[in-house]
Amino acid sequence: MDTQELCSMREAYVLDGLTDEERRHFEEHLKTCKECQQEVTALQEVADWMLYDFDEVEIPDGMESRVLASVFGDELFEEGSVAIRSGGAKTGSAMDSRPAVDSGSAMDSGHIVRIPQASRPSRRTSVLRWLTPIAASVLILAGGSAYLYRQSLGLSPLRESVGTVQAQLPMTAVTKGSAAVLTVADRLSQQSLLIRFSGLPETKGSQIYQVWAIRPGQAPKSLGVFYPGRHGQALFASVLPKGYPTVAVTLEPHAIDKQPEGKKMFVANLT
Amino acid sequence: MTRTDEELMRDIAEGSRAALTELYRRYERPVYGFALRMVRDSQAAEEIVQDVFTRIWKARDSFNPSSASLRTWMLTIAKRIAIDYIRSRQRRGTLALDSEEKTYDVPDRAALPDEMASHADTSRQIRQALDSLPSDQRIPIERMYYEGLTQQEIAEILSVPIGTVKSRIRLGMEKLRRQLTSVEMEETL
Ligand SMILES: [Zn+2]
Repeated sequence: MDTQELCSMREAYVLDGLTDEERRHFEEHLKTCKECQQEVTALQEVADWMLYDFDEVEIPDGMESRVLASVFGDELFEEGSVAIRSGGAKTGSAMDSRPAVDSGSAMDSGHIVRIPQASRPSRRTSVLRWLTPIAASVLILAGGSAYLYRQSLGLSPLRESVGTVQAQLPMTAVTKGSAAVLTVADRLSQQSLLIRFSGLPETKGSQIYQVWAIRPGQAPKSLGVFYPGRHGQALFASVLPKGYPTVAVTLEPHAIDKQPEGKKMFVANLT
Repeated sequence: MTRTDEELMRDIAEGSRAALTELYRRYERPVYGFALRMVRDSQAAEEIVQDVFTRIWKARDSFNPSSASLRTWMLTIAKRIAIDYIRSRQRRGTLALDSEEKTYDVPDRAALPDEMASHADTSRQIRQALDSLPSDQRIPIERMYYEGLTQQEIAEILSVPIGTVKSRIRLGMEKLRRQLTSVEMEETL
Protein backbone atom coordinates (compact mmCIF):
# COMPACT_ATOMS: atom_id res chain seq x y z
CA MET A 1 0.00 0.00 0.00
CA ASP A 2 1.47 3.35 -0.98
CA THR A 3 1.31 6.49 1.09
CA GLN A 4 -1.38 8.10 -1.00
CA GLU A 5 -3.62 5.09 -0.59
CA LEU A 6 -3.01 5.03 3.14
CA CYS A 7 -3.80 8.72 3.47
CA SER A 8 -7.06 8.12 1.59
CA MET A 9 -8.28 5.91 4.43
CA ARG A 10 -8.65 8.74 6.96
CA GLU A 11 -12.39 9.20 6.63
CA ALA A 12 -13.13 5.50 6.71
CA TYR A 13 -10.86 5.21 9.73
CA VAL A 14 -12.83 7.69 11.83
CA LEU A 15 -16.13 6.28 10.57
CA ASP A 16 -15.08 2.73 11.57
CA GLY A 17 -15.30 1.61 7.96
CA LEU A 18 -11.96 -0.15 7.61
CA THR A 19 -11.42 -3.87 7.82
CA ASP A 20 -9.23 -4.98 10.70
CA GLU A 21 -6.30 -5.39 8.38
CA GLU A 22 -6.76 -1.98 6.78
CA ARG A 23 -7.07 -0.42 10.20
CA ARG A 24 -3.80 -1.94 11.35
CA HIS A 25 -2.03 -0.62 8.25
CA PHE A 26 -3.55 2.80 8.69
CA GLU A 27 -2.69 3.03 12.38
CA GLU A 28 0.89 2.15 11.55
CA HIS A 29 0.89 4.91 8.94
CA LEU A 30 -0.75 7.33 11.36
CA LYS A 31 2.22 7.14 13.68
CA THR A 32 4.40 8.93 11.16
CA CYS A 33 2.06 10.95 8.88
CA LYS A 34 1.65 14.44 10.34
CA GLU A 35 -1.07 15.40 7.88
CA CYS A 36 -3.16 12.34 8.74
CA GLN A 37 -2.72 13.03 12.44
CA GLN A 38 -4.13 16.52 12.04
CA GLU A 39 -6.93 15.46 9.74
CA VAL A 40 -7.96 12.49 11.87
CA THR A 41 -8.21 14.71 14.92
CA ALA A 42 -10.52 17.09 13.08
CA LEU A 43 -12.54 14.33 11.46
CA GLN A 44 -12.95 12.55 14.77
CA GLU A 45 -14.81 15.58 16.06
CA VAL A 46 -17.28 15.22 13.22
CA ALA A 47 -17.66 11.52 13.90
CA ASP A 48 -18.23 12.16 17.61
CA TRP A 49 -20.81 14.77 16.73
CA MET A 50 -22.61 12.17 14.62
CA LEU A 51 -23.09 10.06 17.75
CA TYR A 52 -25.76 12.54 18.74
CA ASP A 53 -28.07 11.79 15.86
CA PHE A 54 -30.78 10.17 17.93
CA ASP A 55 -33.95 11.07 19.77
CA GLU A 56 -34.29 10.63 23.46
CA VAL A 57 -37.18 8.26 23.95
CA GLU A 58 -39.19 6.73 26.74
CA ILE A 59 -37.23 3.90 28.27
CA PRO A 60 -38.84 0.50 28.86
CA ASP A 61 -40.46 -0.20 32.22
CA GLY A 62 -38.17 -1.89 34.67
CA MET A 63 -35.07 -1.53 32.53
CA GLU A 64 -32.97 -0.12 35.34
CA SER A 65 -33.52 -3.06 37.66
CA ARG A 66 -32.95 -5.57 34.87
CA VAL A 67 -29.75 -3.93 33.70
CA LEU A 68 -28.27 -3.39 37.15
CA ALA A 69 -29.18 -6.89 38.28
CA SER A 70 -27.31 -8.20 35.31
CA VAL A 71 -24.30 -5.92 35.78
CA PHE A 72 -23.89 -6.70 39.47
CA GLY A 73 -25.19 -10.23 39.23
CA ASP A 74 -21.99 -11.36 37.62
CA GLU A 75 -19.88 -10.98 40.64
CA LEU A 76 -22.46 -12.03 43.13
CA PHE A 77 -22.12 -15.37 41.55
CA GLU A 78 -21.16 -18.00 44.03
CA GLU A 79 -18.20 -20.07 43.11
CA GLY A 80 -18.97 -23.73 43.23
CA SER A 81 -22.64 -23.38 42.56
CA VAL A 82 -22.29 -23.83 38.85
CA ALA A 83 -25.26 -25.84 37.85
CA ILE A 84 -24.75 -26.06 34.20
CA ARG A 85 -21.50 -26.53 32.47
CA SER A 86 -21.03 -26.36 28.80
CA GLY A 87 -22.11 -29.60 27.26
CA GLY A 88 -20.11 -28.93 24.12
CA ALA A 89 -21.38 -29.55 20.68
CA LYS A 90 -23.53 -32.57 20.77
CA THR A 91 -25.33 -34.25 17.99
CA GLY A 92 -29.04 -34.59 18.12
CA SER A 93 -31.82 -32.22 18.84
CA ALA A 94 -31.00 -28.86 17.41
CA MET A 95 -32.70 -25.60 18.03
CA ASP A 96 -34.98 -25.78 15.05
CA SER A 97 -36.09 -29.33 15.62
CA ARG A 98 -37.13 -28.84 19.15
CA PRO A 99 -39.24 -31.83 20.09
CA ALA A 100 -40.94 -30.09 22.92
CA VAL A 101 -42.12 -32.19 25.79
CA ASP A 102 -44.84 -29.73 26.53
CA SER A 103 -45.99 -26.81 24.49
CA GLY A 104 -44.48 -24.34 26.88
CA SER A 105 -41.06 -25.86 27.08
CA ALA A 106 -39.31 -23.00 25.40
CA MET A 107 -39.60 -19.50 26.66
CA ASP A 108 -37.74 -16.32 27.13
CA SER A 109 -36.19 -15.98 30.47
CA GLY A 110 -35.81 -13.08 32.71
CA HIS A 111 -32.40 -12.18 33.89
CA ILE A 112 -30.91 -14.72 36.16
CA VAL A 113 -28.85 -13.55 39.04
CA ARG A 114 -27.22 -15.47 41.80
CA ILE A 115 -26.10 -14.41 45.19
CA PRO A 116 -23.32 -15.83 47.26
CA GLN A 117 -23.70 -17.42 50.61
CA ALA A 118 -23.78 -14.68 53.14
CA SER A 119 -20.42 -15.64 54.59
CA ARG A 120 -18.62 -15.53 51.30
CA PRO A 121 -16.56 -12.43 50.72
CA SER A 122 -17.37 -10.90 47.40
CA ARG A 123 -14.61 -11.34 44.93
CA ARG A 124 -13.54 -8.26 43.13
CA THR A 125 -12.84 -9.94 39.85
CA SER A 126 -14.88 -13.02 39.57
CA VAL A 127 -14.42 -15.34 36.69
CA LEU A 128 -17.69 -16.15 35.11
CA ARG A 129 -18.45 -19.65 34.17
CA TRP A 130 -21.60 -19.28 32.24
CA LEU A 131 -23.60 -16.56 33.80
CA THR A 132 -22.47 -13.70 31.71
CA PRO A 133 -25.33 -11.30 31.20
CA ILE A 134 -28.02 -13.38 29.77
CA ALA A 135 -30.09 -11.73 27.15
CA ALA A 136 -32.53 -14.53 26.75
CA SER A 137 -32.41 -18.16 27.54
CA VAL A 138 -34.47 -21.02 26.34
CA LEU A 139 -34.91 -24.27 28.14
CA ILE A 140 -35.41 -27.22 25.87
CA LEU A 141 -36.57 -30.55 27.13
CA ALA A 142 -35.99 -33.23 24.58
CA GLY A 143 -35.84 -36.96 24.73
CA GLY A 144 -35.54 -36.98 28.49
CA SER A 145 -32.67 -34.50 28.50
CA ALA A 146 -32.63 -30.85 29.35
CA TYR A 147 -30.66 -28.24 27.47
CA LEU A 148 -30.27 -24.62 28.13
CA TYR A 149 -29.78 -22.32 25.18
CA ARG A 150 -28.24 -19.05 26.04
CA GLN A 151 -28.86 -16.29 23.59
CA SER A 152 -26.37 -13.58 24.10
CA LEU A 153 -25.96 -10.43 22.16
CA GLY A 154 -24.77 -11.00 18.65
CA LEU A 155 -23.87 -14.61 19.19
CA SER A 156 -25.56 -17.75 18.06
CA PRO A 157 -27.19 -19.55 20.96
CA LEU A 158 -24.93 -21.56 23.18
CA ARG A 159 -26.30 -24.92 24.03
CA GLU A 160 -25.53 -26.36 27.39
CA SER A 161 -26.52 -29.75 28.57
CA VAL A 162 -28.12 -29.77 31.95
CA GLY A 163 -28.45 -33.52 32.09
CA THR A 164 -31.18 -36.09 32.25
CA VAL A 165 -34.56 -34.95 33.41
CA GLN A 166 -35.39 -36.72 36.63
CA ALA A 167 -38.54 -34.99 37.66
CA GLN A 168 -40.82 -32.30 36.47
CA LEU A 169 -43.61 -30.91 38.57
CA PRO A 170 -45.69 -27.78 38.85
CA MET A 171 -45.03 -25.67 41.92
CA THR A 172 -47.95 -24.63 44.04
CA ALA A 173 -48.61 -20.97 43.37
CA VAL A 174 -49.79 -18.62 46.07
CA THR A 175 -50.73 -15.83 43.67
CA LYS A 176 -53.41 -16.38 41.08
CA GLY A 177 -52.36 -16.11 37.47
CA SER A 178 -48.74 -17.04 38.04
CA ALA A 179 -47.29 -20.45 37.40
CA ALA A 180 -44.00 -22.24 37.85
CA VAL A 181 -42.79 -25.60 36.62
CA LEU A 182 -39.82 -27.12 38.34
CA THR A 183 -37.45 -29.49 36.60
CA VAL A 184 -34.75 -31.51 38.27
CA ALA A 185 -31.99 -32.74 36.01
CA ASP A 186 -29.04 -34.88 36.81
CA ARG A 187 -25.63 -34.76 35.25
CA LEU A 188 -22.36 -36.16 36.52
CA SER A 189 -23.95 -36.91 39.89
CA GLN A 190 -24.89 -33.26 40.27
CA GLN A 191 -28.49 -32.24 40.42
CA SER A 192 -29.67 -29.09 38.72
CA LEU A 193 -32.80 -27.20 39.44
CA LEU A 194 -34.55 -25.34 36.67
CA ILE A 195 -37.72 -23.40 37.21
CA ARG A 196 -39.74 -21.77 34.51
CA PHE A 197 -42.04 -19.03 35.64
CA SER A 198 -44.86 -17.24 33.94
CA GLY A 199 -47.27 -14.55 35.03
CA LEU A 200 -45.00 -13.30 37.79
CA PRO A 201 -46.05 -10.00 39.31
CA GLU A 202 -43.57 -7.24 38.46
CA THR A 203 -41.06 -6.30 41.08
CA LYS A 204 -41.29 -2.83 42.57
CA GLY A 205 -38.48 -0.76 44.02
CA SER A 206 -35.83 -2.98 45.56
CA GLN A 207 -37.98 -6.11 45.39
CA ILE A 208 -36.50 -9.26 43.95
CA TYR A 209 -37.51 -12.89 43.65
CA GLN A 210 -35.43 -15.36 45.62
CA VAL A 211 -35.31 -19.15 45.46
CA TRP A 212 -34.71 -21.24 48.58
CA ALA A 213 -33.93 -24.85 49.39
CA ILE A 214 -35.60 -25.88 52.60
CA ARG A 215 -34.77 -28.69 55.02
CA PRO A 216 -36.75 -29.14 58.24
CA GLY A 217 -34.95 -27.89 61.30
CA GLN A 218 -32.42 -25.83 59.37
CA ALA A 219 -32.17 -22.33 58.00
CA PRO A 220 -33.31 -22.11 54.41
CA LYS A 221 -30.50 -22.06 51.90
CA SER A 222 -30.61 -19.37 49.24
CA LEU A 223 -30.20 -20.67 45.71
CA GLY A 224 -30.24 -17.30 44.05
CA VAL A 225 -32.32 -14.32 43.06
CA PHE A 226 -33.84 -13.17 39.81
CA TYR A 227 -36.00 -10.58 38.17
CA PRO A 228 -38.78 -11.57 35.80
CA GLY A 229 -38.41 -10.57 32.19
CA ARG A 230 -41.07 -9.22 29.93
CA HIS A 231 -44.57 -10.56 30.51
CA GLY A 232 -43.58 -11.88 33.92
CA GLN A 233 -41.53 -14.73 32.57
CA ALA A 234 -38.32 -16.07 34.00
CA LEU A 235 -36.08 -19.06 33.84
CA PHE A 236 -34.08 -19.83 36.94
CA ALA A 237 -31.22 -22.32 37.06
CA SER A 238 -29.09 -23.44 39.96
CA VAL A 239 -27.43 -26.42 41.54
CA LEU A 240 -29.84 -28.32 43.73
CA PRO A 241 -28.05 -29.13 46.97
CA LYS A 242 -28.52 -32.66 48.26
CA GLY A 243 -30.91 -33.41 51.06
CA TYR A 244 -33.32 -30.52 50.70
CA PRO A 245 -36.83 -31.85 50.16
CA THR A 246 -38.57 -28.52 49.54
CA VAL A 247 -38.03 -25.63 47.18
CA ALA A 248 -39.75 -22.31 47.73
CA VAL A 249 -39.79 -18.98 45.95
CA THR A 250 -40.33 -15.70 47.76
CA LEU A 251 -40.71 -12.11 46.70
CA GLU A 252 -38.14 -10.37 48.88
CA PRO A 253 -38.19 -6.71 49.81
CA HIS A 254 -34.41 -6.35 49.35
CA ALA A 255 -31.90 -7.68 46.91
CA ILE A 256 -29.86 -9.84 49.22
CA ASP A 257 -31.57 -11.40 52.17
CA LYS A 258 -29.97 -14.11 54.23
CA GLN A 259 -33.32 -15.26 55.51
CA PRO A 260 -36.60 -15.24 53.65
CA GLU A 261 -38.50 -12.17 54.77
CA GLY A 262 -40.82 -11.63 51.87
CA LYS A 263 -44.03 -13.18 50.73
CA LYS A 264 -43.92 -16.82 49.74
CA MET A 265 -44.94 -17.17 46.11
CA PHE A 266 -44.39 -20.80 45.19
CA VAL A 267 -43.55 -24.03 46.92
CA ALA A 268 -42.84 -27.56 45.78
CA ASN A 269 -41.97 -30.77 47.56
CA LEU A 270 -39.46 -32.86 45.73
CA THR A 271 -40.10 -36.10 47.53
CA MET B 1 -24.32 17.39 46.27
CA THR B 2 -23.99 16.26 42.73
CA ARG B 3 -20.81 14.49 41.86
CA THR B 4 -19.08 15.35 38.62
CA ASP B 5 -18.63 12.68 36.00
CA GLU B 6 -14.96 12.46 36.93
CA GLU B 7 -15.76 11.90 40.60
CA LEU B 8 -18.29 9.31 39.63
CA MET B 9 -15.82 7.45 37.47
CA ARG B 10 -13.22 7.53 40.22
CA ASP B 11 -15.69 6.01 42.66
CA ILE B 12 -16.66 3.37 40.12
CA ALA B 13 -13.00 2.54 39.64
CA GLU B 14 -12.89 1.90 43.37
CA GLY B 15 -15.79 -0.50 43.08
CA SER B 16 -18.70 1.62 44.23
CA ARG B 17 -21.96 0.15 43.06
CA ALA B 18 -23.81 3.24 44.14
CA ALA B 19 -21.63 5.26 41.78
CA LEU B 20 -22.31 2.92 38.88
CA THR B 21 -26.01 3.12 39.65
CA GLU B 22 -25.76 6.90 39.55
CA LEU B 23 -23.86 6.76 36.28
CA TYR B 24 -26.55 4.50 34.92
CA ARG B 25 -29.28 6.92 35.91
CA ARG B 26 -27.37 9.80 34.40
CA TYR B 27 -26.78 8.14 31.04
CA GLU B 28 -29.49 5.52 30.63
CA ARG B 29 -31.54 7.78 28.42
CA PRO B 30 -28.92 8.82 25.86
CA VAL B 31 -27.37 5.36 25.70
CA TYR B 32 -30.75 3.74 25.19
CA GLY B 33 -31.86 6.39 22.70
CA PHE B 34 -28.68 5.95 20.72
CA ALA B 35 -28.84 2.14 20.83
CA LEU B 36 -32.43 2.23 19.64
CA ARG B 37 -31.48 4.55 16.80
CA MET B 38 -28.81 2.05 15.77
CA VAL B 39 -30.68 -1.25 16.03
CA ARG B 40 -34.29 -0.10 15.80
CA ASP B 41 -35.47 -2.76 18.17
CA SER B 42 -36.29 -1.98 21.78
CA GLN B 43 -35.26 -5.33 23.20
CA ALA B 44 -31.92 -5.32 21.39
CA ALA B 45 -31.41 -1.71 22.49
CA GLU B 46 -31.90 -2.73 26.11
CA GLU B 47 -29.38 -5.53 25.68
CA ILE B 48 -26.91 -3.01 24.35
CA VAL B 49 -27.47 -0.76 27.35
CA GLN B 50 -26.86 -3.75 29.58
CA ASP B 51 -23.70 -4.62 27.71
CA VAL B 52 -22.38 -1.05 27.91
CA PHE B 53 -22.72 -0.86 31.67
CA THR B 54 -21.46 -4.40 32.16
CA ARG B 55 -18.31 -3.56 30.21
CA ILE B 56 -17.78 -0.38 32.15
CA TRP B 57 -18.19 -2.22 35.42
CA LYS B 58 -15.91 -5.06 34.44
CA ALA B 59 -13.21 -2.77 33.11
CA ARG B 60 -13.46 -0.29 35.97
CA ASP B 61 -9.90 -1.05 37.09
CA SER B 62 -8.46 -0.06 33.78
CA PHE B 63 -10.39 2.81 32.31
CA ASN B 64 -9.15 6.30 32.09
CA PRO B 65 -11.81 8.70 33.31
CA SER B 66 -9.96 11.72 31.99
CA SER B 67 -10.72 10.81 28.41
CA ALA B 68 -12.80 13.38 26.59
CA SER B 69 -16.47 13.63 27.41
CA LEU B 70 -17.95 10.74 29.31
CA ARG B 71 -21.13 10.93 27.29
CA THR B 72 -19.23 10.61 24.01
CA TRP B 73 -17.15 7.80 25.42
CA MET B 74 -20.24 5.87 26.48
CA LEU B 75 -21.98 6.43 23.16
CA THR B 76 -18.84 5.21 21.41
CA ILE B 77 -18.93 1.99 23.42
CA ALA B 78 -22.63 1.64 22.65
CA LYS B 79 -21.90 2.16 18.97
CA ARG B 80 -19.27 -0.57 18.88
CA ILE B 81 -21.63 -3.01 20.54
CA ALA B 82 -24.52 -2.00 18.31
CA ILE B 83 -22.41 -2.46 15.17
CA ASP B 84 -21.46 -5.97 16.29
CA TYR B 85 -25.12 -6.66 16.79
CA ILE B 86 -26.12 -5.21 13.42
CA ARG B 87 -23.44 -7.14 11.61
CA SER B 88 -24.44 -10.41 13.22
CA ARG B 89 -28.01 -9.70 12.24
CA GLN B 90 -26.89 -8.99 8.69
CA ARG B 91 -25.02 -12.27 8.60
CA ARG B 92 -28.20 -13.98 9.58
CA GLY B 93 -29.82 -12.25 6.64
CA THR B 94 -32.54 -10.45 8.49
CA LEU B 95 -31.48 -7.06 7.28
CA ALA B 96 -31.59 -6.46 3.58
CA LEU B 97 -28.23 -5.16 2.48
CA ASP B 98 -29.49 -3.67 -0.72
CA SER B 99 -32.12 -1.38 0.68
CA GLU B 100 -31.13 2.17 -0.01
CA GLU B 101 -33.07 3.94 2.64
CA LYS B 102 -34.61 2.51 5.71
CA THR B 103 -37.35 3.91 7.78
CA TYR B 104 -37.76 3.01 11.39
CA ASP B 105 -40.23 3.62 14.09
CA VAL B 106 -39.18 5.03 17.35
CA PRO B 107 -41.49 5.38 20.29
CA ASP B 108 -43.04 8.73 20.98
CA ARG B 109 -40.71 11.21 22.49
CA ALA B 110 -40.90 11.24 26.21
CA ALA B 111 -41.62 14.41 28.04
CA LEU B 112 -38.13 15.69 28.47
CA PRO B 113 -36.69 17.54 31.39
CA ASP B 114 -35.13 20.88 30.57
CA GLU B 115 -31.61 19.55 30.56
CA MET B 116 -32.54 17.28 27.70
CA ALA B 117 -33.48 20.20 25.51
CA SER B 118 -29.84 20.76 24.65
CA HIS B 119 -29.66 17.23 23.37
CA ALA B 120 -32.63 17.92 21.14
CA ASP B 121 -30.73 20.91 19.75
CA THR B 122 -27.60 18.91 19.10
CA SER B 123 -29.43 16.06 17.45
CA ARG B 124 -31.38 18.47 15.26
CA GLN B 125 -28.18 20.18 14.17
CA ILE B 126 -26.45 16.97 13.21
CA ARG B 127 -29.57 15.66 11.48
CA GLN B 128 -29.92 18.89 9.51
CA ALA B 129 -26.25 18.76 8.59
CA LEU B 130 -26.55 15.18 7.37
CA ASP B 131 -29.76 15.90 5.51
CA SER B 132 -28.12 18.82 3.74
CA LEU B 133 -25.64 16.50 2.05
CA PRO B 134 -26.35 15.15 -1.42
CA SER B 135 -27.63 11.62 -0.95
CA ASP B 136 -24.69 10.10 -2.83
CA GLN B 137 -22.46 11.48 -0.07
CA ARG B 138 -24.81 11.06 2.85
CA ILE B 139 -25.74 7.42 2.23
CA PRO B 140 -22.22 5.98 2.22
CA ILE B 141 -21.31 8.02 5.32
CA GLU B 142 -24.39 6.86 7.18
CA ARG B 143 -24.07 3.25 6.17
CA MET B 144 -20.45 3.15 7.16
CA TYR B 145 -20.89 4.91 10.47
CA TYR B 146 -24.29 3.69 11.65
CA GLU B 147 -24.33 0.24 10.08
CA GLY B 148 -20.69 -0.70 10.22
CA LEU B 149 -20.22 -1.36 6.52
CA THR B 150 -16.73 -1.20 5.06
CA GLN B 151 -15.70 0.86 2.02
CA GLN B 152 -15.63 -2.31 -0.04
CA GLU B 153 -19.10 -3.40 1.04
CA ILE B 154 -20.55 -0.01 0.25
CA ALA B 155 -18.88 -0.04 -3.16
CA GLU B 156 -20.50 -3.38 -3.88
CA ILE B 157 -23.93 -2.36 -2.66
CA LEU B 158 -23.90 0.88 -4.64
CA SER B 159 -22.17 -0.73 -7.62
CA VAL B 160 -19.53 1.96 -7.84
CA PRO B 161 -15.73 1.72 -7.66
CA ILE B 162 -14.21 1.91 -4.19
CA GLY B 163 -12.41 5.12 -5.19
CA THR B 164 -15.78 6.73 -5.84
CA VAL B 165 -17.02 5.70 -2.42
CA LYS B 166 -13.93 7.21 -0.84
CA SER B 167 -14.21 10.51 -2.65
CA ARG B 168 -17.94 10.88 -1.92
CA ILE B 169 -17.30 10.20 1.74
CA ARG B 170 -14.40 12.65 1.77
CA LEU B 171 -16.52 15.41 0.21
CA GLY B 172 -19.40 14.74 2.59
CA MET B 173 -17.16 14.73 5.64
CA GLU B 174 -15.61 18.04 4.59
CA LYS B 175 -19.06 19.61 4.41
CA LEU B 176 -20.03 18.22 7.80
CA ARG B 177 -16.83 19.55 9.23
CA ARG B 178 -17.54 23.04 7.97
CA GLN B 179 -21.05 22.91 9.42
CA LEU B 180 -19.78 21.66 12.74
CA THR B 181 -17.26 24.48 12.86
CA SER B 182 -19.98 27.04 12.19
CA VAL B 183 -22.20 25.53 14.90
CA GLU B 184 -19.33 25.75 17.35
CA MET B 185 -18.69 29.36 16.42
CA GLU B 186 -22.34 30.25 16.97
CA GLU B 187 -22.22 28.64 20.35
CA THR B 188 -19.17 30.54 21.47
CA LEU B 189 -20.61 33.88 20.39
ZN1 LIG C 1 -1.23 10.07 5.71
